[in-house]
Amino acid sequence: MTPPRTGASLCRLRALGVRYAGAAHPALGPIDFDIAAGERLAIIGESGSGKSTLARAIAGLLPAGAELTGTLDWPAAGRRPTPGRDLGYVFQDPGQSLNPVLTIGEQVAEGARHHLGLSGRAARAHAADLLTQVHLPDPGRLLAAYPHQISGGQRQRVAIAAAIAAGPAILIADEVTSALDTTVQAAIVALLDALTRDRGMTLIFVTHDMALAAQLAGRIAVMGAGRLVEAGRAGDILQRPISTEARRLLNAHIDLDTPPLIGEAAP
Amino acid sequence: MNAALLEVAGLTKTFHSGGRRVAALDDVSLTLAPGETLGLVGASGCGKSTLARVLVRLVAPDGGSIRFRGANWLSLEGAPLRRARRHLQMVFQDPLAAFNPRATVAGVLTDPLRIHALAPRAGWPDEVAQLLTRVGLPPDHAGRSILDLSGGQRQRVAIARALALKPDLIVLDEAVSALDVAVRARILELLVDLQRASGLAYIFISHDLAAVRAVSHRIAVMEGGRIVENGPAAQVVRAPESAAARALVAAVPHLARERTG
Repeated sequence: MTPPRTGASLCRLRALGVRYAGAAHPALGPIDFDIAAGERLAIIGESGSGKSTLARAIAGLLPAGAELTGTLDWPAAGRRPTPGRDLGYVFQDPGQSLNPVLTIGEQVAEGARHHLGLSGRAARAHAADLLTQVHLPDPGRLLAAYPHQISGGQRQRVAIAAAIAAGPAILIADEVTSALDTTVQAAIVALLDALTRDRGMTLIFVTHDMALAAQLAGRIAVMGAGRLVEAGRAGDILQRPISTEARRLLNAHIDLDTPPLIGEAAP
Repeated sequence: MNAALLEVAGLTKTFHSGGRRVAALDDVSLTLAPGETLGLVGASGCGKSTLARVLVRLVAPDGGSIRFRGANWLSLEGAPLRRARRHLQMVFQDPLAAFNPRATVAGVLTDPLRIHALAPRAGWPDEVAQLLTRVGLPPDHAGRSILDLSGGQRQRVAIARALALKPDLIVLDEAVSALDVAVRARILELLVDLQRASGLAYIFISHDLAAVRAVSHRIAVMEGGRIVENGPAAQVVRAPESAAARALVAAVPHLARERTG
C-alpha cells in the first residue's frame, strides 16, 4: 500500500456491526466513523464496551464465525490492508502473542521475509536493526533468545518490532500497556509515540486510560455498550465531555493531583 | 493504645535462580498502626510481592522478625498459626485465579466461616448476605457461580471473603491492577469506606503510585529488595527523595485538562 495522502479518508465505517458466533446480541454497532490517513486516534472505553472488537474489525482480525454487517471501506488504498504488511497489530499480552518456541529473531524477521521478500540473512539483519529501533539492548544476542528469557516490557518491545517489520502504514496498539508496570508503560508509550511520528504512520491506540489516550492521540473515540458514543479532538473531550461514558472515565481517572480518598493525618 | 499492629524488622529472603542469587528482601523493616494503610510501591521485581507472601506466612524469610498483634508471628506453627491467620488476610491481583472456578459466591464466603467456626451453620446465609451488602453487591448474588461475575464483582467477593474473618489487617497485592479504570476507582472507595467503618489496617501493594496515593496514609518505596524511602503519602509524592520514587512519580499518566502539544 503506498502511503496515502495525509488527511484523506483511510478507513470508512458505515453501519458497521459485529456479532460473534453463537452470541445472541451484536458485540458492536452500528458504527459510522471515518479514520483519516496519518491521524493518531485513541479508541477508549470500559471493559466490554466493544473497543477491541472495533479495532479487530478494522484490522480484519475477527475470529472465525464472527458476522460482519454494514460496510468497511478503504477509500485511500482502494482495497483492504494486508495484516502484517500494510497494518501492524500489537496485542495486550506479549506473553501470549509471541510464539514461545520461536526465537525472537525468527519472529521479528518473519514479517520482513514474508512481506518484503528478504533473504534469511537480510531479514535477520533487518530484525537486528528493528530491535535497535525499539531500544532493546544487545540485539545480536537477543535474536537467538526466546520470549520467556526477557521481561514483559522487553517482550512488548519485541512485539512492536515484529509489528512494524514490514513497514506498515497503520499501527493498531490494543491495550498494549495494560499488563505492564507504570514505569514500563511510560517507556512503551514514548516508544510508540516516537516510532509512529518518525514514520508518519496512522496510529490507532486502544485503551481504557484517558490520560494515555490524550497523551498519544489527537482524536479520541469513546465507546460504550458496543456503540460509538462520542468522538472529537482529545482536548475537547478532556475539557467538555458530552457522553456519560467519557465523563465516567474522566471522573474515575486517578493521578497524583487527585485528592486522596483518605484524610491526610494517620489515625 | 497507639501500639503498633505490625512490626517488621530486618527481614531478608534470597532466592536462587539459575545459579544467580537474588535478594528479594534485603533488611526490610516497617511498622503499621491499627487502622492505618501503608502503601508499598515499586517496579516489577522489587520484592514487594515477596514481602506480602512473607507477611501472610506463605513464604518463610531467611532472617528477621515480625511481631503482629503483640506476638511473635513467625514462631506460630500448626493449629495456633491456622487460628491466628484469621486476623491477617490477603487479597490477590487476579480474583479468578484466587477462587475455585466451580465455587459459588455463597460457597466462597462460607468457607472461612466454617473453617474458623465463626458462626453457627444456621447463621451462614445471613452472614453471607451481610458480607455481600458490605462490599456493595446484591445479596441475591450468593447463588451465582464465580465465573458468572465480572472482574470487579469478583474482586468484591475476594474482599468480602477476607472481611468474613473480621481481620485486623488485609494485605492487598496488586488488588486493583487488573481492573478497568472505573471499576478500580470504585474498589478503592470501597476499601476506604470499609476501613472507616471497621478500623482495619491495610498494606496496599501496587506498581501504580496514583492508586497507592489515593488510599495510603504512608508510602514505602521498594527497589532491589530494600525499602529505599518511607514517609507520609503526601510527602513521598510531592518531594520524592530516592531515584526509585522519582521514577514512579514521573511515570504516572497525568490528565492534562488542556493539551500543550
